[in-house]
Amino acid sequence: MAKALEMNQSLQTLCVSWNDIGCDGAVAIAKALETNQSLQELKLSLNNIGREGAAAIAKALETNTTLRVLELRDNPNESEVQEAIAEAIERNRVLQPP
Amino acid sequence: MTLETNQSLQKLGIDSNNIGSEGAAAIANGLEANQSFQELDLHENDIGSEGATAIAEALQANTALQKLGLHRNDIGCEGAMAIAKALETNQSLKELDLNENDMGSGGAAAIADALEMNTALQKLGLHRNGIGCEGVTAIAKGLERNQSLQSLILFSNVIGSEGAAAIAKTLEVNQSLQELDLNHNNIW
Repeated sequence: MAKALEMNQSLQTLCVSWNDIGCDGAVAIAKALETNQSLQELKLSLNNIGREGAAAIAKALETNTTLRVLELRDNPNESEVQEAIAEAIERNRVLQPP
Repeated sequence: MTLETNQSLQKLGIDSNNIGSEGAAAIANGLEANQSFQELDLHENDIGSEGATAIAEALQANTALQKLGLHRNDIGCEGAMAIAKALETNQSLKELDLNENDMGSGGAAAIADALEMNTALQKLGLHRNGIGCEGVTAIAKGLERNQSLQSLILFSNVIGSEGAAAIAKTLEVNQSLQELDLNHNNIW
């Protein structure tokens, strides 16, 4: 899915909540977000992405300028996830806080 | 049947009315001749495969309907196959809600074949249909040629990681899809 996101230029909304993509999956998606220029909504709630996964997503948000809605509810270490994302939101001017 | 002669009604919503297959057949008769009707919502009416087949046959003649809601009608594999056949010729329907209809991988495969030929459908709802990896792989193949579908809802279909990979591969070539919902699908 991450590789596809790097090549696809039409997808605006991707919902993959309530799966188990884990940290590795989140890191791969984060990498794709660095080049993807179409995705506006990404829903990754309930995916056990962990602290590292969240950190990777947060880092991607520093360069990605198209994503507007990001859902990461109910992932373990939620407070750390929120902290990492909150910092990224401060640096990213497109994504709006919920 | 009034629908056959009425040429002004544009929307009809008779959801949750237990019209059954006979009621659906009566509506289908009207739909076949009617060319003004744009939206039909029949969700939760227990129309079954027979009712869906009647509606599907009407869709082959109808060129006006743009939105059809058949959510939770137990149309099954057979009903989905009939709708799929209609989609091969119908080029006016833009939104189709087949959510919660237990179509299984067979029904999904038929819809997938239709997607290769259909050029009108923009939104397709297939959530909770027991599609599985096999069914979604067929849909992925159908999407490789489809250039009209913009929204595809597949949540709760147990497609697994392999199924998600098949859809992902399609996204490398398909450039029309704008919304993809794969929530709750055992992807890891």
